Amino acid sequence: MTDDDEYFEDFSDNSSIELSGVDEDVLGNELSSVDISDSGEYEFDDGPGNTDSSSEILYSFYKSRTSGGIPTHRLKYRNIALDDIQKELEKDVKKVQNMLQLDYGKCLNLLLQYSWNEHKMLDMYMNAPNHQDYLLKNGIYEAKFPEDLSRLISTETDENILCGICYCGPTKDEPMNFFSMYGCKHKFCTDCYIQYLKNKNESGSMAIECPFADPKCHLKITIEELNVLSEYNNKMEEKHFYHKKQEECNLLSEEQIKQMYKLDSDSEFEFDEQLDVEDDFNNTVKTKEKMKIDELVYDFHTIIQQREREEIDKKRNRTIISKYWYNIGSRYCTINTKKYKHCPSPDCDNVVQFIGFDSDIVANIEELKRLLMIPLVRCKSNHQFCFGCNETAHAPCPCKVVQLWKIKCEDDSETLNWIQTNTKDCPRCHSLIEKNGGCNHMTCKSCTYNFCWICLGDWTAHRNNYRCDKYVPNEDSDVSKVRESLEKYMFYFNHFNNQRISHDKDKQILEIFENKIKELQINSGVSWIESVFYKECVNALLECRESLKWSYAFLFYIPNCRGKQLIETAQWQLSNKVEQLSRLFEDVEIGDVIKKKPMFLTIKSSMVTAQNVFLETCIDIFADKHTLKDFVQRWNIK
Amino acid sequence: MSNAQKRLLKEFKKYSNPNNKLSESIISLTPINDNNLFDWIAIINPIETIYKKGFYKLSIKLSNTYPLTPPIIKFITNESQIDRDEQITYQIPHCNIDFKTGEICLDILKIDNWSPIWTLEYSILAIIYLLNNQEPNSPLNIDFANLIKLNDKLAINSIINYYIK
Repeated sequence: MTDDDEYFEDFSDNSSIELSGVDEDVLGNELSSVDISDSGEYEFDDGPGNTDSSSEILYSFYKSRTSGGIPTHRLKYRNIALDDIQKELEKDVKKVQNMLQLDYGKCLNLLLQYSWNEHKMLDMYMNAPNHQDYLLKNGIYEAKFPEDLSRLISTETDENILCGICYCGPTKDEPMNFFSMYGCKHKFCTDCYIQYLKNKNESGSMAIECPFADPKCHLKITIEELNVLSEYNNKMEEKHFYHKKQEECNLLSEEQIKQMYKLDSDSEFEFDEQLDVEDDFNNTVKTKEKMKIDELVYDFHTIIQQREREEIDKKRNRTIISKYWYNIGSRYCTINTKKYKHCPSPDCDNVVQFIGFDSDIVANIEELKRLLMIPLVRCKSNHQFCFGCNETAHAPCPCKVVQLWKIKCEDDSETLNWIQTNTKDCPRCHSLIEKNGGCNHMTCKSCTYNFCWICLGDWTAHRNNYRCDKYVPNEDSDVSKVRESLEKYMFYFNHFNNQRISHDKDKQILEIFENKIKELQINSGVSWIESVFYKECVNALLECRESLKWSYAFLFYIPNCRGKQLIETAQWQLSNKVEQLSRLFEDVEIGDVIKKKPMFLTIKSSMVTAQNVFLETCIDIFADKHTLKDFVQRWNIK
Repeated sequence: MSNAQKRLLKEFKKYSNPNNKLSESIISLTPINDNNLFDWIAIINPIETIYKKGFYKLSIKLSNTYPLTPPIIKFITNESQIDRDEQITYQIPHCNIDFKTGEICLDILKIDNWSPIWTLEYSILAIIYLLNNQEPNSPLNIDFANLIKLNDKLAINSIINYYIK
């Protein structure tokens, strides 16, 4: 192969758009050679322009350095949908294809066989004494595909042929379509073949084997053959669809119309009567439609989400090919967990692609974890999770601390079961009180006593100095160290749990709130877009609650140092803002929501700032090498 | 009629055709009743195996996705006293068959290895083949698997015959 040839082989990676502008006379020969190698292949649309231009690079933290000058070692990532992975994989396959000079689908099957371990696959291929045997062992028929693969589907009229799956055969009057893979002569009727593939697709198999099994035929179907069947299937479904439509749209006969309107077949069509009937009919339709519209508006948000999900599902399941690629992409992500992570939220199958770090110090996730940084990422649907441990967002706790805390909670929860109860006694009248809202300011229903949920002290004492979140070691008492550490743990666990409960309760309240907003939209005609701001506030509030929750676990593990006080101050500020917003949600009259929009937004933005400051402070604590070392040694974090 | 029903009807016709002899080991292979093609019963007498003196009953349950998904086949081990047939042996000691439930561990009856071209008759024949080719390395009946491993033919045969009526 000359240099020129090689050059154009590489060129064929890109679509022919690139070549279209070039003078054909000059390149005629080379072009035709490219054409041969490309013929009969599955077509791609990976033009150089449209590679992931839609998804920008995102960072795990909003600043590369904290205000204290500490590098945050941000993780660079990108949001992709599972379907986008297809493009990346296609490039890999193309690369292998250029080396092995095999058909595209065969290379894909080889790569699937070796779990995308290209080097191992090439190694095995090169070292195999006989390439043909090697390929056959992997379910691949070596001979190149003919140009027109659609010939694999043949129409049979021979009565001796029988489909081995449905046990049906063609007759002279009723011919049947049969399909067999290129390289094996096992024919099955197309309907059964398609059903078979769909079934295998559903269970997530890839490189599906020929259904023949007596003896087992190990030939694997390639993407090109799959494409032939997929297209055939689409055509058939379309045809079916039109037939159905046609049947539905068939003009009604006079008899049917009369029956529909319950007219006697003898009576003549009188203009007035007909109009009346029609009016009645229209009215019922109108009221029904109005009810339907009301319903639609009421559940607008949920319906939109549901519809989006359904559309994605539909798109994916539309053709055999798209589902097949979805399976491949999904599997690829599970193999390459270092580079790709599935969003752990239920019903979400967005993928986050790891790109790198914005610091030279960190090389991989493990090192980042060792530095006690938290690689939080957001998927396309704005679900926040940790790239390091696949947990929901647990800032400011490093992954290791989360692990420690969870183990500790599991160990101790048995003995401290009472802590988890959701009820407390009113400090004055001792009636049982369940906290049903997010705010810590409680008013007892029976004695109207105002108190703080956390310390059960008089609320008036808190007005200026709401410092309940701070744990003050009891220095006067001479309790043993064990007792003190247990008390300390209980203190933080209590707070952790309180935040967890508040989080859940907030969620409930906000759901009710959302419903009310929807009512408001219907009654007063406020547009959905105008009132959507509350959704942002809700999400921010819940995220801050999550941060607060984990901050208690974090504080439990932090040694007493100067930084701890700073953290506590920042935490206190954040918690103030959270309570403020939570309070606002609880108190606001639903009619005033739009009026109070600026207030919501102001509190929200100050809360988010407080959250950022708080997280920064937490990161800053490890700036002191001694603190970091102490921390790592004390809790045995490796 | 669904594809599964069509196919099962064809199989049913084939098995009930007197000209078309089933394997000698299979005494009968019929649906439990004519209205339901998704529930079958087979009675086997595995003459070419060490279980040759016994008659065993198998229940076959099919789903609407048959033949794309395999049938669920079990040895019947716990038939109620009323339905009990004196001829049938309800205990089968075999290292790949659960002694209590009659569950069968056979790779081709698992969805990954199943092929849609296989029929009910083929599945039953595969089970009969399994009777003589025990796989003690992935056992459901561990005690019996130990005997197979030790290749104690006397013990094996006497245990099997002990249960046969």
